[in-house]
Amino acid sequence: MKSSTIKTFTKVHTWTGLCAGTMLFIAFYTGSITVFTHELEGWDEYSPTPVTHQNFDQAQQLLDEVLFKNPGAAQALRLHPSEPGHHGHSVYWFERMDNGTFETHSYYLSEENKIIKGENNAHLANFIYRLHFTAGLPASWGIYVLGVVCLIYALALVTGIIIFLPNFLKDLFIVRSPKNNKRFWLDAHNVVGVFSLPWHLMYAWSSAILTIGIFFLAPFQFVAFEEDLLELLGPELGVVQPLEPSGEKAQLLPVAEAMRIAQEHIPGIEANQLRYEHAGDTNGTIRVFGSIADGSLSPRASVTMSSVTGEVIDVSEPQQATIGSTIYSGLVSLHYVTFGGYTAKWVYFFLGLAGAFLFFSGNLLWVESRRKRRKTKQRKDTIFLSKLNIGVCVGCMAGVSAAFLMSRATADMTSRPDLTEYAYYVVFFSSVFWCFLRSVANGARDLLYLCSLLTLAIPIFDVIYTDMPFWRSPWIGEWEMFTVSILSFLGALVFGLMAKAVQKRSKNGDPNSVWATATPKTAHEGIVT
Amino acid sequence: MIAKSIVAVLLSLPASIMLIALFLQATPLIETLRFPSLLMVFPVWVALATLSFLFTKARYAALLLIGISLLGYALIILLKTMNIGGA
Repeated sequence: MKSSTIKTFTKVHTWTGLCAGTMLFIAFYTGSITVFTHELEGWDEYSPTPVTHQNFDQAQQLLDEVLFKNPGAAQALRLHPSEPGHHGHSVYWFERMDNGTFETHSYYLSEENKIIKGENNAHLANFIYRLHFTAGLPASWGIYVLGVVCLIYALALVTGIIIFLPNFLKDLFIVRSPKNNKRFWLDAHNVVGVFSLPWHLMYAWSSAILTIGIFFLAPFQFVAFEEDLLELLGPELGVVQPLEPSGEKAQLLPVAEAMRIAQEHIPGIEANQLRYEHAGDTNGTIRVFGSIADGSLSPRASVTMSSVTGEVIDVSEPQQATIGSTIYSGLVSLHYVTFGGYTAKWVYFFLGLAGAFLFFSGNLLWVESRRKRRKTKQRKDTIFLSKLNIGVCVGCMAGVSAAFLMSRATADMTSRPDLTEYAYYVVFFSSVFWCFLRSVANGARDLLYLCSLLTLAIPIFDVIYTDMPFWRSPWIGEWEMFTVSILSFLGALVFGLMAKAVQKRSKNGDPNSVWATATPKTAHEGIVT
Repeated sequence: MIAKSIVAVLLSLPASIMLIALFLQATPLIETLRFPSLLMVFPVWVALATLSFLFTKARYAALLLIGISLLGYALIILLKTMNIGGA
């Protein structure tokens, strides 16, 4: 390959990395946490008097009472049955408002069989998930920005492969001594990037489909297809068009019967949602969503039936999927790691953290490759990027820890969801601001110590605010509580060690670097502190 | 670099859509290929965007990508008029 070609793609790789790197760090760090969304909800919803498993009779009671008190709920209602880790049935319905938006109403059944209205105030898992696909931007358009970032990300991956190819075999297993900073960060970046490349390519593609996929499809309606494209693709996307309501009332099929019919047509289906359209109408439908443990990549399945007679309208299971549906649901499954149990989840967790390291190290590499080796005063652009990189990346990690703490401390408050979000944003923006006030090294050290303290406080807050401290949780099987505590201790240790390393580097390392702090000897040269 | 990047990112998208639409129109109607072809928009977009950077000047890349888009669209219209193939 010509050296000019390598040089061109190196520039592209550099700029795409710089443009997308910090946002991708947030997406990957929060993404690695959301691999365990279900478990995180369990941690966040921890209660000393948990709801025990509820049966179908209780689900029927909940459904009947919600429909009796809210006739409007019949249009679009969802029942989430009790399941391991999420005991207790819950019902949601979506009320269309005059301005076109939807308001969500939720109900659940307490341990005393009383209907409780109001959303469960645990919001941490949802919030971290939202951070994952918006990087903290407003949800209404942040998702589209991340979609564009996916394209930049894909360009970075492809150009990274191209520029690494000539030295593939020579450099693949090499990580040189940290004495040469630039070489060390480059080798570390390359090793992590190359070994996790297939996973990153999958994520770039699947993320683009999930965020901006609709914009890919829309132009085809105008240039290629005469028929309605969404109707053509509907069956492959698993869309079943509900019938128009007849206006005639009819007895609703019992929950237990709907579950039995689903099991009859897809044996072994583990139902996690019953979706009612026009419940109580002769044309109403129930769609039972769930998964089957058939070892396939995409284990989702559903059975759609009449909500009056139970007559089956549609069955969707992995074996029946078309090629397109298999590719699409396969990408979605790979993205959400809905396969492989906990082994796959832990692999994804560590790959997610490695991905975050990849983007962080890429920016560090850019700074290091522009270091003025004979001057203490460094370039303004390298100082700026260093501060931004540290502020955003470490600020994100510190903010997430702060969100954990706030959610634990405000478990009994109705404003818990808002306070959880405020905690993140206050810590995040303060971190970025602090970094720009301080020198690169001092700002990095300060934030890493802050991150360490906030993360260490997570299991301590469990001791203060719950009856389940980390030394008790493993003995009674509260694994979610225990795992979060252990990971918090490990995280706090790692952040603390990194802070110490930055401090040591700033005092004893090469003074001709953004990572050095001012010394009296060099102060006259105008070094930034 | 900025001009080339804008050209690569923005103009590769219509070009990739036209290429895939042309494929769908020109090949016999095979329903099983329809959805997989639509899913290939993103990889084709990335490939065209990457290749755009090989041009020495942004305007050459822009001319090629616009050319692919217009030619692709013209061929689709022609094939539809002649009732050949069908998406």
